[in-house]
Amino acid sequence: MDVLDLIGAVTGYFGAIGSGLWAGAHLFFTLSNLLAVFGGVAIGCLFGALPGLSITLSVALVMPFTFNMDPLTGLSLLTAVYVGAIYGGSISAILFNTPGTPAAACTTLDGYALTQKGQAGKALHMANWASMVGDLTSTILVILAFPLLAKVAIYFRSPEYFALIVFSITVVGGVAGRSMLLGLIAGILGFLFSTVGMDPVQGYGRFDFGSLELLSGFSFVPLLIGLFAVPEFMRQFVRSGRSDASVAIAAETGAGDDNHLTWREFKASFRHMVRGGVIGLILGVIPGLGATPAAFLSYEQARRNSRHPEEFGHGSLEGIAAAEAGNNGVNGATLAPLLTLGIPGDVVTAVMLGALLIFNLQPGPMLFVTHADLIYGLFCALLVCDVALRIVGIAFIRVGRYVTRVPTGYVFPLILVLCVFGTYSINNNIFDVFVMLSFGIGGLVMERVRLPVVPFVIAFVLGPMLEKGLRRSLVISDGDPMIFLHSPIAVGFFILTILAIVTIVRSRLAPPNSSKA
Amino acid sequence: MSFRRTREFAVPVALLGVCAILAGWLIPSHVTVVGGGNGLSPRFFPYVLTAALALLATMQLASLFRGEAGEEDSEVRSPVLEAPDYVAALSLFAYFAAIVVIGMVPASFLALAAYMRCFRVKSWWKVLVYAAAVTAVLVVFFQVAASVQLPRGMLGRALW
Repeated sequence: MDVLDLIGAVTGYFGAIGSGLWAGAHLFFTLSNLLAVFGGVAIGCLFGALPGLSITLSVALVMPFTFNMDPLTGLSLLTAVYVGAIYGGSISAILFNTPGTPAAACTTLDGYALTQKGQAGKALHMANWASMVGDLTSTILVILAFPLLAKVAIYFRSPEYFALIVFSITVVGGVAGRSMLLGLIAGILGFLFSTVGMDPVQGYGRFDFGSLELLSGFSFVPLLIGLFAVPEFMRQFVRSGRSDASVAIAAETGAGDDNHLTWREFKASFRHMVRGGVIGLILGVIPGLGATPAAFLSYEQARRNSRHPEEFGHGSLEGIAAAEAGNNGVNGATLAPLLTLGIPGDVVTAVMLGALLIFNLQPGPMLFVTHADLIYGLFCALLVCDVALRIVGIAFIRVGRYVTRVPTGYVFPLILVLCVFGTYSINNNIFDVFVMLSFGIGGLVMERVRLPVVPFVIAFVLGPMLEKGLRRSLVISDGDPMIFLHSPIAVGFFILTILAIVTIVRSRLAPPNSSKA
Repeated sequence: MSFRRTREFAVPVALLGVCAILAGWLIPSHVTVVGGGNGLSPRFFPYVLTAALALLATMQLASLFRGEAGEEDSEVRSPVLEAPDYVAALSLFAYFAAIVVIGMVPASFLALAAYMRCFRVKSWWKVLVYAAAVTAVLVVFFQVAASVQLPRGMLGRALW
């Protein structure tokens, strides 16, 4: 291949992306889609700003409302809620030292310090800009790399899928809980619950006890809403019993000014935002890691590269920029393994997988062939989300402090009733409501015995895919398990699995101080 | 053995019990035998998972015996579920039972009002107005706009 061929190939590659984006833009730019994005970001900001209402819960609660929508509108709404919720978490983190989401925990380090100095407005504006720039950076990189990823994904067959899922659940189980063993146990339990109902290869009933409802298996959304919403409701219910008056979600703070960010401050932090976006992209692609480690890693890198590292932890705008760009950088990245391979990297993308299946869209390499315009439309939605994040974010900077003062007595009963209506509406089946409540109590028990919920949920989604990968591979090889070692991709994932186990076990055995060096 | 240690040991022991029930009774009784051959029947995958779960539970038990459990904190000294948790769980199932008996709309109105009172919203008129408004909005959205047939309950079906 000479230079001209190479230039031709590169030009063709980017030309295809350009024409794909053009087609996607034609599909996306309708009033309903724009309303879905702006409305979704606002809903996400609202949920993200309320401590206790997780990003997952906000996406899961919105999901039943998308079933009557056009697929692109529904997916755009879910994506926008996700993007908005990650940013929303920073509002209560900065104003009240209470991260609205785990991903915003890093933002409290400098955000609340600035609030105490009377510079809350400056911190909120910086968080908003950093969220936008971090998300935009990773989204653009995902768009540029996506066709390449889709081409690689075509080489995935049953043994490769099996190896990839084993790798995914090992990483998710390893990093989710306090102990890798407990994380993996939660994952296996998730796989076991996914076997209830018809088996995915031959269609025979399993563990149905003669019940038609159980023969269909547990629906994903009731299980998800139950595991995330009901335990939080029960916690708040118990907490309310210990106080005499209805309590606000977060305590009031004295600092309430709205000072603005200067161009110089923005410019000094810009490189940390871009770096944070790239870190978010890299960590977002790896299943199970998600926004929280991305925020902390980005923060640490910014501290090392800053001219004023001594300010970090005491009200550094660069620290806020790095943390927020890092946690927002995962937004686009988590979609890459979902859309190319059908493998959700975290619980939110597991919800998105459920939505895709409800819209009769099978994620995987063929999605890029059969529904390229939809994928590029979704990328357009992600880009518009960044614009919406800025516009809606400015409004939320002003109203956020009031939102977090809403008494729990109004919020949590509403959330519970919404969960019941939303769950019922999925299949018009009261059994789903019972499933939601049962899994909710199960989720509380899991939490108390330190079994992490996230590996359980992801394993539940991936269970049928894992079983198909295992059983089909063994059928092809006439029962010979060596088929898994004949594929270089599968072997690669098995090696990565072993490396992940070694790395996670070593990091857990290392003394706590060694990581701070 | 302290309470905390008992609780930590109880989890893997319970999981081993679940594995025994699965392998000895649930899988043979509730999974059809077809496919045979290379162990590829619908029973194959649940058996693999049960074996993996038993292995992990045994490893967890072994690590507890070796004293590799995490640091002690106040959270693990309490029982898995305390009395207020049971009250919360029972209230949820009472809500579910009310949906089955009187229908989703009246049950949700009552649940909203009751929970708001439990959450210490003291003003009755605020509770009633809020519960009525939320219920009305949900009915309009789900039943009218999205054409979802909300369950009327045994009482609702008997009356109309």
